[in-house]
Amino acid sequence: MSEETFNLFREIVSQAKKISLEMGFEEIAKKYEKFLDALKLSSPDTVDVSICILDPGNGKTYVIPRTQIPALLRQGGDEARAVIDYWRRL
Amino acid sequence: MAKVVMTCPDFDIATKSCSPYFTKYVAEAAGAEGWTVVLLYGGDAVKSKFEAACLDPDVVMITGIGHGSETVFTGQNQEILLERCSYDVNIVKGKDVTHLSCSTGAPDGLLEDAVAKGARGAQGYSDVYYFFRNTRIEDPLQDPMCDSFIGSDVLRHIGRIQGKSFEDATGDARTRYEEKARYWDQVDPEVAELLRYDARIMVIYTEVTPPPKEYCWLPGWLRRLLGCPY
Repeated sequence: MSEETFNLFREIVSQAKKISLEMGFEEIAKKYEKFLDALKLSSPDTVDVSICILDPGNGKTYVIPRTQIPALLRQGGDEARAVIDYWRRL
Repeated sequence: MAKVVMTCPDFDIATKSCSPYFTKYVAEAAGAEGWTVVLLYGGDAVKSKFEAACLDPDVVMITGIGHGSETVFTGQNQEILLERCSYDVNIVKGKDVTHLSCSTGAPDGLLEDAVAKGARGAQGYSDVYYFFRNTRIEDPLQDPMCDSFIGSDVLRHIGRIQGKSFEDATGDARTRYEEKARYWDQVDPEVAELLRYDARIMVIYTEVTPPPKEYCWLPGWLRRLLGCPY
């Protein structure tokens, strides 16, 4: 994995900490797509996996395939908020 | 003979992924120490069976997995097994309460309450617990991503069974989380960062620490004059 891939993920986390619902998640969705594309080259086995996310706001648990995260962010629903909330904790 | 009550619900991907780590590794460790495992698996991880099992005077540890929050620890289909301030204190009195669950270790949460009610000590997480799972690998025990997370957590409970202090048992888990994070640093930074986050939110409660005594550096005559409460 390149340093560029590592830095890209740090950018995503940093942006998640600043983002607000009003700003929309398009930019961060694009960055995560780019991150997954980079991972596909260096570690393809790690891309098609899921992350177990609990939304403390509503108590629901989501099991979100990583590859669906950009689309979920663009939709902007509860799952998108849960993903952003998860990145904010990192 | 010492007994451990182990709750292992299995109704969604999160619980189905974590329970096998307890039924294999934690149960094996308990067996090796001569403990009896009272396993409440799947539909048996419900409040009536949990309470009955925990009230057995031979039980020295309550462990397992379940969805949770600051105030509750749950079993099958998120049935509440323990809720802060609303359980028979004999369920926890004199026992370890050590489980994998979101947020039960938050300040003033369920685990702190359990220790205040007489639990010997408690291990949990102070915030939401996240983990990765490769669902293309059917058996979670064979999933290297899932193993990096849950395989690290179980060392806390195993350590206690083997007679280690709470600090050393959680230290074992912390060491493994970090070892795995170093591996994933080379492969996938998101997995590495998440392992470090989970390690950071591990908490232990072994006693209810009274609030620190306030100290005032002013001389006594001035404190009295100003009405200083210290």
